[in-house]
Formats: sequence, C-alpha cells, structure tokens
Amino acid sequence: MNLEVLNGRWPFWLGAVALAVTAVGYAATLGRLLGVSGIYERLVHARAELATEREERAFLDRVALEEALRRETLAEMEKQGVQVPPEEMAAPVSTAVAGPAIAPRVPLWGQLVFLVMMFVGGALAKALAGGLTFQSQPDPAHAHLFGRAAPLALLFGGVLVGFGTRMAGGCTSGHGLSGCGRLQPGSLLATACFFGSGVALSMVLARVLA
Amino acid sequence: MSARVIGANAVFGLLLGFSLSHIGFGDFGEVHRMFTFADLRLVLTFGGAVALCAAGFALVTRRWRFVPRPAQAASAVGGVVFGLGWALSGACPGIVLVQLGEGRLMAGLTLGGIISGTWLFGLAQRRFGIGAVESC
Repeated sequence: MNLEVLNGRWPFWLGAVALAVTAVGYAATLGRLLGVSGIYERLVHARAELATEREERAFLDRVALEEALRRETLAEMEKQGVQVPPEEMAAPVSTAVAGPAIAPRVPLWGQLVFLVMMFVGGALAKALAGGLTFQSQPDPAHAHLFGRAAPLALLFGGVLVGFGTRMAGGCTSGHGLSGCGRLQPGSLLATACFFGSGVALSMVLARVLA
Repeated sequence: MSARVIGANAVFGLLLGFSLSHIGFGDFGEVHRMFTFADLRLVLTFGGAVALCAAGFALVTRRWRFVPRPAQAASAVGGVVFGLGWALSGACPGIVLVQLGEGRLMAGLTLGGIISGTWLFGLAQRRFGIGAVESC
C-alpha cells in the first residue's frame, strides 16, 4: 500500500490542519497555550523553575488554603478577645469566579516530554518515508548560500533565534499560532516582524550570495 | 504529575514533530523558498494554520482563560531579531528538534545557538530590564 501522507511533502491544507489541530488541541486539552521557546527558557532556568513549582504545589488546593486562613483568623480574633461576626466567618467563603478558568501550568517534566516527542516525530516521519539516515554535511541549499560559513550561520542564527524569541516573549508556536489565533495585538505584531525580517534578509541573501 | 498531562504532551509533541517534518519546515531550501516567495506552499500552510487557529480558539476560550499579549516595543524588536536568525539558520525553536530527529547533525550547532541565545537574553533581561512583559 502506498500512503502518500507518509511519503512525500504534504499539500498546504493538510499542513495547515495539522498545525492548527496541534495548537488548538493542546490548549483545549490542557487549558495552557503551546509555546516552544517558553519551554527553552524554563529549561535553561530549570533549577529556579523546579523550586517555584514546589512552592506552587503547596498552594494548589484553593479550598484548603482558604479554610486554613479562616481558621487562623478566627483563632487570632479569639485570642485578642474580638467578637467574631458570625455571618462573616462562619462558613468558608468561596472566591471562585464564574466563567472561563485559568488552568494550572504544565510541569517542566511534561514540557520536556513535549520537546523529546517533537524530536521523535521528526525521526518517525523520516523513518516511515524511506529510512532514517544521518547527514553530517551541511544542507545542500544552506551550503549553496553560505559556503564555508554555513556552520557559523547556523550557530549565529541560532543565537539570534534564542535571544529574539525570548525578547518578543514567543516564537512561531506561541506568537504565530497560539497568539495570532487569539488575535492578540502583541502576537500579530511579533509575527509580522519575524516574518517580515525573515523575508527581507532572505531576499538580500538570495540576491547577494546565490 | 498526572498521566493525562504527560500523555497530552507526548501526543501533541509527536504530532507537531511529525507534521513539521512532512510539511518540509526542517528543510532549509523549503524555508528559504518560503521567505523569498519562490514557493508559496509553506506561506499558505502557515497562513492557513493561523486562520484555522482563529476559528478553533474562538471555541476554546469559552472554557479557558489565557494570558493577554499586548503590543510592546519588545514584541517588534524581538520579532525582527528572531526573523533574522530564522533566515540564517532555517530553524525556529521547534523546528531545530525536528531537524535533529531527521538526522541532520549540523542542527546541533543551531540548537546550541538557540540555548545560548535564550541564556544570553535572561542575562540581558536581569541586567537591563528589557523584554516583553509576561503575566502568568
């Protein structure tokens, strides 16, 4: 059986559907937005992130937290001889608001799984399409453009990608899909800028180097 | 940590990596042809995905509340820097992992660059207070 989907390049509509299903499906399932560059930032500062997660876990149970605060307040008032207004402090007060909820953050380990599985997804696609091979040479199209400077272009380009995405607060997934999909001004601006500067530099490179 | 959270991250990570590879985003030539408009397939893929996301998120945001992303100077400047890096390396933070999975060993240089850039920005942010403001 020859499955075109597993072999060649996908038509634009199939790629669009796959990307949208990923971004929207992730948000619908977990209540958190997908953003790959944000995961890099959390991993680079993993020690501080894990410490924050431990602290947050202690405050996760909102009902228990409110009940504990109420008990402490009652005990303190009693000690100081203050008359407790019964209607104020008799029952736990819920501060839950109706409407859309804020979901808890995805733990760092879960996000690491996401990155590892992206890697596996690339390997699986290649393996099913005719075999996984290792290429230690630069990409031919990249080498055609940059010649012997190709490794430097990869390294320096990577630094710009890491710095720029964190400065803008998102990358292709966080701003491009999750942010533009929600029509957020900052995401529309960032996406227009990264696509625009990518186009501008590529046009110059094609004119000057090719 | 719940199995549901791990499972969802595994499934969507696999789906994204697999899809990006078949779309051709891991291939520098394809990305370069997208940026020079020599081939409109990737432009239409990304544009179509944004349009479908807009429709999909209209449904999702009834149940969940997400962070607002206001327009700031840092969104524009950071975006420009990122775009230059993408044009030079052919990768964004997600795509570089797909390239490595496809067996493109040179992408290791790009990954090293991205991690260094992320670290460098953290340093610059602490020292100079630059960057887009994010609220949790």
